[in-house]
Amino acid sequence: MNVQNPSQQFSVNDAPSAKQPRAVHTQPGAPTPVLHGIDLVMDYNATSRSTIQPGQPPALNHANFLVGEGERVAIMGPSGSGKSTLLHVLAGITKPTTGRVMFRGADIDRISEAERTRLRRQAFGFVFQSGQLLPELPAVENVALPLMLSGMPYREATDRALSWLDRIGLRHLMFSRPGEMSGGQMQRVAIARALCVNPAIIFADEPTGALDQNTGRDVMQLLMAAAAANNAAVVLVTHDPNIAAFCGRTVHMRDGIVLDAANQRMGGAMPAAVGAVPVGPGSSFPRNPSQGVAR
Amino acid sequence: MNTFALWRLFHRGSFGMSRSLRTVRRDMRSDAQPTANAAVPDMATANMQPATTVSEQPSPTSADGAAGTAATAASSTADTATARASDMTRAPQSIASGDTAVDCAAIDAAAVEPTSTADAQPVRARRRGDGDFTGMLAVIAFAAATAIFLTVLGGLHGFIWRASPDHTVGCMFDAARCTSHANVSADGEFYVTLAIFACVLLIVPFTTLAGSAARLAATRRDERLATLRLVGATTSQVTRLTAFEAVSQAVLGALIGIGGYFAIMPLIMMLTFENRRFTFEQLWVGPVALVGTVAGVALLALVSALLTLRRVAITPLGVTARQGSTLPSGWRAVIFVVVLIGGFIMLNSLQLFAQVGRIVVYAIAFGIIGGCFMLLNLIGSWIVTAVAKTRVRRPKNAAVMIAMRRILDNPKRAWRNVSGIALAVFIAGITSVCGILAAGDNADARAVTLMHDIALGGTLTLVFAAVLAAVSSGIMQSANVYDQAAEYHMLILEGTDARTLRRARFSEVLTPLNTVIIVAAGCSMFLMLPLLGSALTAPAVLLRLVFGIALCYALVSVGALCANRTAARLDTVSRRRDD
Repeated sequence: MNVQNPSQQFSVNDAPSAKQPRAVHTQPGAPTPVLHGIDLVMDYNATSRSTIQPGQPPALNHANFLVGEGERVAIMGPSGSGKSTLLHVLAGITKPTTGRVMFRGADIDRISEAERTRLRRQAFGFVFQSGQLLPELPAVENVALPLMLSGMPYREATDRALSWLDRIGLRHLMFSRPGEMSGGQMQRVAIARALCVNPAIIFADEPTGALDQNTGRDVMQLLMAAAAANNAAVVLVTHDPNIAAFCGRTVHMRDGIVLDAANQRMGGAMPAAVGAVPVGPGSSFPRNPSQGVAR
Repeated sequence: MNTFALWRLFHRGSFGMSRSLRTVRRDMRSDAQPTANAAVPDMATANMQPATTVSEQPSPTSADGAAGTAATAASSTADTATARASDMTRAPQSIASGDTAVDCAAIDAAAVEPTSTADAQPVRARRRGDGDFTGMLAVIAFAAATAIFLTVLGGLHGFIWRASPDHTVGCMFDAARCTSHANVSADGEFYVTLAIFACVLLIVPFTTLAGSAARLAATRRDERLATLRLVGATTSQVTRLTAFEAVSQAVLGALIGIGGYFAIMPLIMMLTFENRRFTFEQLWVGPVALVGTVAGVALLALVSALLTLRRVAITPLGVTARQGSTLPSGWRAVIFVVVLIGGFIMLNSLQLFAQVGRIVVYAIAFGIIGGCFMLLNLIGSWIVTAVAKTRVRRPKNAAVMIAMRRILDNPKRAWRNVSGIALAVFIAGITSVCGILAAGDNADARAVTLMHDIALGGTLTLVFAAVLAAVSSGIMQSANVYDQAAEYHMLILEGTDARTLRRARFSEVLTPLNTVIIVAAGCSMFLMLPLLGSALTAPAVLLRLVFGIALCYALVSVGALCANRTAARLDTVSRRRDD
């Protein structure tokens, strides 16, 4: 097993250039910046294989976004405002037309696709609305999958996955496949999968969109508690203000523009809401000192 | 709305799509029930019209913009389909109140004003050309099946031509119906029997391919048809559309297959059976057979499509929850071993039946081989399951784990993928032993020719089965890629490298292939064990079998490669996400 800290995988050439566009203004005592999107423009018309009709406005229009270590930020806005596009650009899934995304000081758009893939696998965790679990794999193997993709042997990966299922109270479903689980259970498994690599940031795109209110709240509590225990930052896209309330800071978007000027700087101390996230019985998340170091 | 117009709506590009949508809306208004159903077509508008602002585009490769629009609303997964349905039921409240005219105007206005679409249901831009691509795969499958079917039929016709005094089937079985009395070959009827036997053997891979082609097309169609049902299309409209599309794909494929039949014919004319080559006259099946084949392929596609349509017709939300299939039980293996040993004993006691007559001996030999052949089909999925279960206990990497789980998800599908090849290898193994006999020094010239021809026929059967199985495998794999596009796309987003997924797909195909080839070749060699000693003196014949098996691997690998290309194509298409 030879998985490095993703933050150490960038070469000197990948380091931020001297042409640093804008300084990051952090308040005293604010968490260290972990991810910074700078002047991001995403114009799907410029993509050679775009499916978007020419003439559409850019999905991101010079957007800036900043998130600190362990910070929880919600992104809200109407449909078509660019929320998910921003999340995908920040996560290195999509390359912006212009602008830069800095992860712990390194420009992730300047590294190769393979390195970006490895970065997503080892430093980022993802929770989507639905459909991210492989239907053929039992829960324990779904959770173990990212670990195995990083080269961990099957036995070790499934042992670790089992411990995560234990923590989220789903050990009894370890051999169940997604088709045999409820929506809430599937989302819990997805959260376990996102967290088992010990990510620095969790990207959550409408994680409760397919769930009822109560289940959605339970899932959010689990997500926030687990992220807090691992000191993972959370970037959450949602339409629901109640879900956004789980985050310490909310960023609003419209027409590809980030509206909140406060987003240029860190949001200050960690909000009380995060600390107030209740943790259910059987969900104990001891803080992991090796946070951000995927394996 | 007539069927062709509906079909055009599904398959036309962006050009003129808005007009098609208006046509649909108008037609559905006229078709819809006056009260309760009145809301349905307007909900169609609510969901379809805004989509045009996203997916409508003048790209030359966007062949099915309208289809995409329709299919976008209904996802392939149960969850999404249900979500879409609930979205539709949450469509503008005034619709529910029955004020449809006002809502139509409002919705149309929303479609015209892009910013107004923000509050409409989010519609994802559709991958370009999905429907057309799968349709093309179905056409290719029908073409391959037709070409090989006609080639085999041509071979059968050639043997009948040689065995019949006036070169007709009727004359061969009834001398009174002969109109002329040309010389016939000495073993003509026996060759016809062998050719019919080969045709029977090829029925399995042929029906597998044609069935998978029909299923592939029907599965893709289901997604769009379910949407149409949701937006108010009648069962009759949906049925006619399905029939029209299935038959048109099958007929197009069959016509291309006829071209393939003519292209293969010169190659068959180079082979020698009974020490002479086939002529065009012998291999030409005639126009009636051609028309009959096209009609048969169309009928097969039609029946498959309508059968799969039933669940859409029953409920607009025609999607079932994914559940694990029952794994085959071990008693199959016990039966197989018992019958195999019994067959071995019988084949080694054929001389006991010699005094009864040659025909009886042949019948017993064919019966035993045919029986084992059938049992191989019975045991196939069990063996594939057993191997996958063993490997998944301790997979060496993620690719193997995914592949084995996919096999265990549906072992019958994994077996179907390679069943044609397994059965052909079984027969080719037996016939190659006949080739070994032909190479012996003690046999007379006529027997040598007969055995040579049996071995050649077996190899030909193997090659045909390999081609059919390879196309079938490629089609099934491609269909799987489409079925699981969402999950695999998510995996790639989360940092799974595409190489792992490619390796998983190869492993998913090659593991069953390795298994069944070893079992099938082993079984045939076991049955012919007493004759295998001669193989040491005729390695060339065994080499031909090995070459045939290598060809199987190559062709199936090409099929898997095509599926990977399909996956790569899906993965690289740029899409705007739901915001």
